[in-house]
Amino acid sequence: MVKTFTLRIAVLVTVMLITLPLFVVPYEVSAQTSTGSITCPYKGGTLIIIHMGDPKSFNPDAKADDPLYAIASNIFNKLVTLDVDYNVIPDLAESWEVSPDAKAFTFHLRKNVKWHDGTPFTCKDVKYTFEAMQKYKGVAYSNLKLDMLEGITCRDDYTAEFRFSDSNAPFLGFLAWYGTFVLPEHLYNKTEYTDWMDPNIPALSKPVGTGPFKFVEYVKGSHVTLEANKDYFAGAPCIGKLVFKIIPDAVAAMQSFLAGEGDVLGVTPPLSEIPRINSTEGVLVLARPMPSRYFMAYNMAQEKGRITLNKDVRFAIAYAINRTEIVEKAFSGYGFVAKGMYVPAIAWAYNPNTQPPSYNPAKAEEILDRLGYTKGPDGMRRLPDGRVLELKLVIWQGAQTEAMAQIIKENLRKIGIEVKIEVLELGAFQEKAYKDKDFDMSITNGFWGPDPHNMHMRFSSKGSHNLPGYVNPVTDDLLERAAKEPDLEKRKQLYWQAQEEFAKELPYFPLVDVVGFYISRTDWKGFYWELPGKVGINVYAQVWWAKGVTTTSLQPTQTTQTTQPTQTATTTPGGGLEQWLLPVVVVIVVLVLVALVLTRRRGT
Amino acid sequence: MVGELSTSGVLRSIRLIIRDKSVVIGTIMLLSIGLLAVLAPYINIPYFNSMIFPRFSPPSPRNPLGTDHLGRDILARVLWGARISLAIGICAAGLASVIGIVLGSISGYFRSKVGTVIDGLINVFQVIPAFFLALVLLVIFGSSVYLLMLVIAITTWPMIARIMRAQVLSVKERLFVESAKAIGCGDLHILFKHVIPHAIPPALAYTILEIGAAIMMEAGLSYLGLGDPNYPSWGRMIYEGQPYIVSAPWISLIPGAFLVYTVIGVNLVGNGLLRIVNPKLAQR
Amino acid sequence: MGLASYVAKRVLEGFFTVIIAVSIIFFLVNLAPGNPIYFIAGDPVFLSPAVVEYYTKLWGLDKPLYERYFIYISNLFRGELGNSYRFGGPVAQVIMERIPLTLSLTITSNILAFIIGTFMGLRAARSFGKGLDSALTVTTFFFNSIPGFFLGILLMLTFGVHLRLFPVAGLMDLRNPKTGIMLYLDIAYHAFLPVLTLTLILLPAYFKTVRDSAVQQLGEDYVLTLRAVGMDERRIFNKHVFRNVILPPITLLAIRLGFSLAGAALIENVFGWPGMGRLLLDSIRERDYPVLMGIYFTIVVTIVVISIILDLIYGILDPRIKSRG
Repeated sequence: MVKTFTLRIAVLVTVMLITLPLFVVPYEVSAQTSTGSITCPYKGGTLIIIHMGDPKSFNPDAKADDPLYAIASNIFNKLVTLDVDYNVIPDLAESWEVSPDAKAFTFHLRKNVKWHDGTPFTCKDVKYTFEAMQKYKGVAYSNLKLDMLEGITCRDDYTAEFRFSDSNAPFLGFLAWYGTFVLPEHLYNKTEYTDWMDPNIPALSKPVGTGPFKFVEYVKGSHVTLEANKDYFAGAPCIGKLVFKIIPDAVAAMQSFLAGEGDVLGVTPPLSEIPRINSTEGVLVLARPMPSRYFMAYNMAQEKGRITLNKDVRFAIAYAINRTEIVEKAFSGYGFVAKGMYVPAIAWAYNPNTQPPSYNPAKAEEILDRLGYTKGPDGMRRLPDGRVLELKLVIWQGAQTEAMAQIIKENLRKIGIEVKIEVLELGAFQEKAYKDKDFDMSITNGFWGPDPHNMHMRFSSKGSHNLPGYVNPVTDDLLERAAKEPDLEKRKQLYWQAQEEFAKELPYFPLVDVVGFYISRTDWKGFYWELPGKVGINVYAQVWWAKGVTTTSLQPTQTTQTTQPTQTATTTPGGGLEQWLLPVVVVIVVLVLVALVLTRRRGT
Repeated sequence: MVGELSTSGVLRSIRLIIRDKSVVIGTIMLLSIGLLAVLAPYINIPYFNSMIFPRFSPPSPRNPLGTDHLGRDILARVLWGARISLAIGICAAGLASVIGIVLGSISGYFRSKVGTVIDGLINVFQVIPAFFLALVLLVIFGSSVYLLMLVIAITTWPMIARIMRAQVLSVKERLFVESAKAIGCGDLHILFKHVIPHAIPPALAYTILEIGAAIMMEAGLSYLGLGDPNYPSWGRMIYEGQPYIVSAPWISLIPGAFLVYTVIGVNLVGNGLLRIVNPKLAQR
Repeated sequence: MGLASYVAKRVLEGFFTVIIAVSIIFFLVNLAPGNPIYFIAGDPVFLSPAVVEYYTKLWGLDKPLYERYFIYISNLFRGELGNSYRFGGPVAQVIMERIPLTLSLTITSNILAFIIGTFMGLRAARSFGKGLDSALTVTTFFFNSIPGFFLGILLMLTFGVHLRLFPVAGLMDLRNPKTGIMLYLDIAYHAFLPVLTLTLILLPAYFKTVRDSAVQQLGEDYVLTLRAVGMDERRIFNKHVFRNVILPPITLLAIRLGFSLAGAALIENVFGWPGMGRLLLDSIRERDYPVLMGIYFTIVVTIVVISIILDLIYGILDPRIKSRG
């Protein structure tokens, strides 16, 4: 869901890089085998990712499917993609042009690309993918504004042109993001299929892409296995196999990783455990800020007697909430008190001059006293009609949201406001919070990128999911104009003005900016978070086994798959050595023992 | 007849109860927890939601049972939690027992259409896995303490109804009911004055067992995050400590220990009573 | 003749029970707040009205509720459970993939609990009132009073995290993939802790049933006679008492097996076991109504069928029931 969107961004690359590798292995560059743009100091091995869940299908464009996203990123390609620093980088499109009015986008496609079944990739795959997306309402339909898409023209096999009826400035950013993988037209587009989710499509159970890895098998609830695609356009990946081991539970996933059952921990562990994980031998933890933010929406929907419609009350509540305490306790310090009304991670659009109120409970009490909500004998404030001032805080289920709600409840109790927490599971949250506006305050987390147009979706009265139910002609107009403005500097000005207005009115209160974690074993190098600009997020094409380099001389074959890395010091019982190695070791040990016994006997 | 609620019967039952070791031990266990629950507001402990302590501190003189992930005193929460968990258990079991006893006796006594309909209802609920139904109800309607009680009651009453029905069926056949009919007593009069008092003891004993089952069910539902976040029930506390189970196990294990202790007490009392009022039923 | 009509009556009864149970859940689920379409887009921020409209049509949610109900019931009669909202594929297939995994846990642990529980029950009865009896009774009493998921957490902490004897999660070792018989052993190794948890939770009921009825048998004439004859105590129990007390635990086993499809949701959750329980939880959370209904239907039918079979067996064994029908 929202909180787990695997998107990582880092315009601000901060944070910790502490390693306690077991072996510091200087590797020799001479062992490099370079093909295409992928360089591999070592070839072969199996990389195991501890993964968050079962994919729902293998059509990566149909529905929101976070567990599939990371897997699909290794099987499929997009036209353009995002790197870990959140820049748009080429993928299947080598280059592109945008018309000055942001209505036409032309992509020049790579020529040496083949689908995993050997069929060449051409513009007709692109045309099919986006037309199907439009027809079957793919997950990216709204982001890409496909309702405005007039058509896709293949000028030749390797040039695709998208035309929109109106300017679509945020298009490229969203195209590089979610649900935009190019699908094989020759496998999907057959008349006997009702749509692109027809269970009869073989590619839905055995996906065929253009990406660095080919699909091998999927055991539901257990794992997805991929193997290196030797014909990948950027060169064969360094590792032979890529396995996604599915463990949805955060604690179990962490334990499994620490027990050596995985090389990458793709499930965010309980944040309080980060130091412990980091101090584990042979494990590397890397953190980066993300454009994901927890915020609290006030209910702004017009209704008689709704207390949060009073701006002073909104400010009083904001003054009473200790966001530093939230970061320290609910996030174990791994997060930032949210700055500004938009996320600093998207630097160009972030207005640093507008800040939400900071913690000041005395001021909060002063405002509430002035408004006439006097305290009763129990220390709780009363409404004019004598009832206790009680607010309903609606959240969805999650360790962080629930901890935040508890802290806010306690913060507000101190200034005399009773908070009633209601935890809903996501489906009911959508209905009760987004649709029925059945709350006074509501906390949610979301990805605020990849483009500041996100603010339009979240806080404009025409936005698709305006949690506060906010209606303000001023911000509506600013955000509307910004979406159609091709000039970056002018867009920025519009977004800055909108943020000023938001800070003045405070329909929502930004709480915490999220930090993303990259946790891996030091045996492996070449992760996408180490290679901004070179490889898209979630793609493991460049990963190679660092420990393997020292042992290459022992292994004559440098081809894939046959060699498998042994484990680090922390091993699981019963596992660890390669299968074929175990008998050898046993035989050797037995021989040595026998020899020892024999020599002893002779000696005595 | 042991199952009767006459004065001499009550006295004899009390004598039997006192002689039953397990009931006595169970009662002591329950009383100790009950006492703590009742006294919680008057003991000098921090407010259960105040977050003034360092986080994750293990048991120490300052916090005898340690603190949790938000810096709250676990002792305070466990004692307040006793109130919540016991309240949920008792109310849910009580409600289930009222529904079960009423429907069970009607279905047992009136073997007409009404009886058949209730029979069918009991059968239907018998095949719906209780936990499954509770889960669906809570996910769908959101969670609060009151809904929890209601949901647990709705999903567990059929057991009591079945026992009650069987009891009423057997009591109905007895001679005194026949004679009451002969002297012209109305059905309702007979049911309430003669049948139910004789049939009820096993159902009541079972209700006590049901308290334990309800506490466990609340814990299970809370473990899946479906508890009420506003009150620290033991199940809720186990759930909240779950992410820290490896590095700070006391957050979950302490409320869990209290829960197990209480359920053992409830089961000792319930089983003992069941054995006394109806030796055959106790074998279930 | 009597038996046939009795069976017919039970089957008819069972049929209506299933229909009513399915109807209750159908309306409950469909009247509930929360629209499955919300899950199409992940973050609702990325959901536009056009998408909602498309899926409303695709899933037939635009039809009135009663119409959907009749469509669902008539599909059930044709043996169709529909397509999953989440996975797209047929519900039957989604469920069939999970059933073996769940059954491998629940059947194994039920049978283990049955065997161990029966054995322990007999053993306790043999030394009725002595130390062993009380020790076994107290132990099983403890396991009867601990929530299964909590016991699971305790075992995982002890054997998985601290002693590292067993894996904490997962189905098989992916670091060193096994094949053939080794794969099965590997899966069994991964299933050890969940099976242990379930067995310990299920055991007390078997123990208590067997012990109590065996203790009751102690007072019977035949036991006294055999004792008087000087027969070995162990022999008396294993041959004679056993024969008389084995029926109730077998009945219990049959009923438990009926519920075994639904029984292990919480423990599956603790150990990340990809069975029906987890499928069920996910389906509720993400409002995959067809799968939810499908699981539900499967469970209810299994329970009803097993209870009919049980009744039938008793019907054959006990002529009084036969004549009643």
